[in-house]
Order: sequence, then C-alpha cells, then structure tokens
Amino acid sequence: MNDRQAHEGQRFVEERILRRIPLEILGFSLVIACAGLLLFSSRTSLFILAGGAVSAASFLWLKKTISQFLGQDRKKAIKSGLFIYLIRLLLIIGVFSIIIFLFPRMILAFAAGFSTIILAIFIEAVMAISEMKPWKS
Amino acid sequence: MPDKPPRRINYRRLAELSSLGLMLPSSIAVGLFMGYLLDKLFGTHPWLLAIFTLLGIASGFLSLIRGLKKFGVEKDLGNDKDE
Repeated sequence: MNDRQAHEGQRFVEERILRRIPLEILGFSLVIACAGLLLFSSRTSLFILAGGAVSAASFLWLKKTISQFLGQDRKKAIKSGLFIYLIRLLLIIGVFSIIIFLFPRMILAFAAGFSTIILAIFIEAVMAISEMKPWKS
Repeated sequence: MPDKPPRRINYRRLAELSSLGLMLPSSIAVGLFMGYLLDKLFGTHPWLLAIFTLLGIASGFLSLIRGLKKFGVEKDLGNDKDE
C-alpha cells in the first residue's frame, strides 16, 4: 500500500465516522426523548430532541469549518469562519437564554439532548478501540 | 475512493477531531449544571444559571478556537516535514 492509498484510506475511514456521529446524536436523543415521553411529558421529550438537533447541527458546522480551515484557501476560510463563529455564538446564547428565561424547567432536558454528542463520541471511541489490534497477542 | 478501509488507521487525528467536537458541549454542560446547583443552593433562580451558562458557552468557544489554531499549526508542521 503506497502513501497516497494509505492517505485516501485514512480519509475514507474518517469521513465514514464523522458522517455517522450526527446520525448517532439524533438517534440517541430520539431514544432519550422516547424515555422522556414515558417518564415525564411530551414537552420534555421535545426539548431533548431539540437539544440533539442543535448538537448535531453544531457538529456538522464544526466539521465543515475544519475542512475549510485545513483546505488551501486558509485566509478566506478564517474570514468566513470568524463571521459564522460570531453568528453561531449569538445563536447559541440566544437559544439558551430563551430556554432559561421562558422555559426554566426545560433547560435540563435541552442540556441532556445537547450532551448526547458525548455519548456518541464515547461509543465511537469504544468501537475504534475494539477494532485496534492488541499490543501483544 | 477505496472500497475497503486501510489496515492501519491513524486514530490520533480522529481523537483530536473528536476532542474538538466535545469542547463546546462539555463546557456548556459544566457551566449549566454548576449554575443550576448554585441557583438551588442560594435561591437566585435563574440568574446564576444564566451567568454560568454564558461563561460555559464563552469558555467552550475559546477552547474551540484555541484547539482549531493548534490543529492548523500541527497540520502546517506536518506539511513542512513532508516537504
């Protein structure tokens, strides 16, 4: 296997994993939302789902930013990245402020959905470790 | 694009990318839960929750930018080595 093939293969695996993570985030938030529907209320499950959706969108944005950042036109990427960064910062502050002041009891449900990315990445890490060959057999 | 994944995968790069993805949600979660607990302790609902969530968001974005910068610098160093 030459260097170029190895590089392409590496990118292929990375792309596959990075494409899977947002879907896993949505899947986990859906599962938690179903549990929330059974244990709490429909509003709670809706906020869990919304948190998962925001988290998945945030991950996709980060992925796009990193690919632009590591691409050829770095200066342009930094300029547009800073602009979108400010918008995103304001958006996240706005979303959290609205929930804190209008639906204070729902902030934990939203945070639970938003934190499903931690679970998704943890599971991906466990899968990656299980695919690794042991140091000594 | 190859059909089969390579035999040896560089998990270090993937781990760095994943840690970048975790920075923002984990900082927000820590700030939010601290604010929630302090609000319950002092009965100041929802002010400490709002303040600590904002601090969490700000620290998450700062670490994200720092991580992105580091990631870019390491990539540049890697390119220099290749050349």
